[in-house]
Amino acid sequence: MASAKVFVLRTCDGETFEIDESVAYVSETIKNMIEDGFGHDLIPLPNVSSKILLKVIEYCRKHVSNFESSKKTSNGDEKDKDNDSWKKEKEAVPEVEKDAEEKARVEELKEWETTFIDIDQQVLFDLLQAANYLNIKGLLVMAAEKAASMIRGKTPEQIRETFNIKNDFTPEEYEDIRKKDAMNDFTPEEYEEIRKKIADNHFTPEEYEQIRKENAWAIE
Amino acid sequence: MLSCKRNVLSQIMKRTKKNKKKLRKKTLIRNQNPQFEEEESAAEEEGDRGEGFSLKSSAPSHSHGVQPLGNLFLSPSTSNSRITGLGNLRILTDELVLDILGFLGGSHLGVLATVSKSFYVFCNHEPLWRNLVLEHLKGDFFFNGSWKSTYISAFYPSFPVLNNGSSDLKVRDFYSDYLFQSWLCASLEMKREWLERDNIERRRGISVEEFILNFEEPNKPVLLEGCLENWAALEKWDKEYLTEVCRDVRFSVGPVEMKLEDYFRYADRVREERPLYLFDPKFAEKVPILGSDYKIPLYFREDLFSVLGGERPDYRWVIIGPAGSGSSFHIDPNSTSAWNAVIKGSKKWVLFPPDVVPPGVHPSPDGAEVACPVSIIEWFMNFYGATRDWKKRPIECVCKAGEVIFVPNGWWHLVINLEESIAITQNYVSRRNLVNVLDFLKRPNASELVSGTMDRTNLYDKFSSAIEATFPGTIDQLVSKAEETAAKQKKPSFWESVTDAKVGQFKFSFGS
Repeated sequence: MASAKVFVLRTCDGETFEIDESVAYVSETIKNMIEDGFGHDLIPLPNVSSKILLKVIEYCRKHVSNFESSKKTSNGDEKDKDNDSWKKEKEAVPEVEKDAEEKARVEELKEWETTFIDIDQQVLFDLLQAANYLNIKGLLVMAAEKAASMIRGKTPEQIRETFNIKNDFTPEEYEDIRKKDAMNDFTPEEYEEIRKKIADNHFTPEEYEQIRKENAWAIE
Repeated sequence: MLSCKRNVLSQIMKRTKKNKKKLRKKTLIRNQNPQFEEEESAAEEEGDRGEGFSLKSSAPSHSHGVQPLGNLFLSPSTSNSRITGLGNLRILTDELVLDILGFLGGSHLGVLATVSKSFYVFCNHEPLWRNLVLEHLKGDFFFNGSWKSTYISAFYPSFPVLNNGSSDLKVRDFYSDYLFQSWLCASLEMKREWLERDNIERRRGISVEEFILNFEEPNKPVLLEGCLENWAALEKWDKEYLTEVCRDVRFSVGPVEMKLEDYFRYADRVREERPLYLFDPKFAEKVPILGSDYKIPLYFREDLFSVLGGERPDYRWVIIGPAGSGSSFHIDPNSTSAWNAVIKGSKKWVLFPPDVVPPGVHPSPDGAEVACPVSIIEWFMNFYGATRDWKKRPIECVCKAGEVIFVPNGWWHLVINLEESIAITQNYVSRRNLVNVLDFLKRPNASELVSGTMDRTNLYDKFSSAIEATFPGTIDQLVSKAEETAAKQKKPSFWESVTDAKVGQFKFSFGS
């Protein structure tokens, strides 16, 4: 391999990291800084800690190596710009083999991503902010999706617990929302009540229809 | 018919100070923000320099009482409910929180809205619901006053939805610049001073030769009056007629395709920062009678791309949109010139010559991308003022029904509909800009820049050979003429300026 250019990044806590040009370019922010001529010395990243930058670099390295291997097998799914050379390589490998390899690559990437993003909330949010600041779209999407997955399917109380959120509605306000917006879920106690009633068959079909209509749309 | 409420232009012209004060009482924002009011009256004293804005009279106060962050410093309570209300997510910016919420489906957003006041406000952010509607319903949505209610009534039809915003909870201590700004831009009216400058040249009844000599050749914009007299469209085109004639035909509206009836239903009711804009390049193919309801004005009949027949790039569009819709700064594709005729409504235009980059706009050096991060209204709020103190002022005008504007090739332009508008626009190549167009199509990055056709890299070859076949010798003739003129003016051609790509190519940018 030709001698790849190397850049040095410095975090807010004073640590330095050396990375290849291709890895650095995964971050649009760093790429722009280099193109504007700031690559000779240390590239300062005052908004990123070393702990987080380690994670970011891990992501960038994986992204680069994944792209390299995809050049041999993919059908052009990668959205990177300068990928004209892959067309020639593609012709060299027979179709069936390519498909199987491609499948395996995608599978492996998914698994890697799941493990990679299985982190503390605090680290996750720091990573999200870093991805935003460094302008690394894939990482931003991955982290945001992970955060969303921590919200999906939970009741309001569970969400509050997960993220340490205070319920700051007054009882009147809460009632207001439930009646007019009624986008909410039942509280665990209410679920219990309803569940019991259904189990004990205390609802008339009309009552059940009524309740279902009033509040069901958010819990389907 | 166009509703009077939406006729922003006439409202502004008629408004008196008295009405302004009445407006203030209606809006929560004014009452809760002494600083805001101070700025407003200071503005009125100074005349034009102030930050005061007038809200559309149809705009209620922010439906959830969101205030900008600055208010936090003035309020008696020192708490921003955002802090406790978002929990661990409070360290994230509003945009990042919205990025996360963008991954949630409708019912999950609904549940999240009851978690805390802050999440209640975030989850009612209309753009989130707009994305959900467009993703799941594409162009087949029945707009119900807001994107959220549109979504709910589509997916949960048995659920009773109230259409106006008055049922929403008013949150008292929530401060967010991003959410407030978003609401502000959606509710803002065009300030009178943004519409005052009208310095375009106007002509009526000039000959084609005069037009070519005085405007097309020197590449100057002009507003032409009285050349749409023979347009059936001026009489016939209104919402009823168009809906009847187009029925179930679908037109391009942003990322989706919609029937006119559905689009009008949306346009009549919507109030948002970046309304969906109907912009269809195949309207005459889809509904031939529309093509026969108008005629290309005399001045623009030379149409050299026609030598390509069916393979020509997109060249004519019908444009329909509510007040506030429009296009932010751009240069028309393929280095073509354009004309834009207003059939109904009115448009505000701001134009800059090719070598002057408008303030707030950042084109990439190769010209392939233009970053104009702000919406049209935001551009007026933040950057319009800068144009006043510069020698290189833009050309501006308001183009009304029956008028046609000529946009010379390479000119930057921004358009905003001041009321619901219907227009037709065409891009064209004549002998006056043929050389420019060929240069453009020849460029090394033609595959990214050329637009309106599926065949980007070959367009140059196809076009130049077709022209040579139909008008032999023309290209050479025009090229040598252009070289002569350029030598006289000593203007660097695109090729010469390429070497200076990073240095001073855009010499006349505004500030940072």
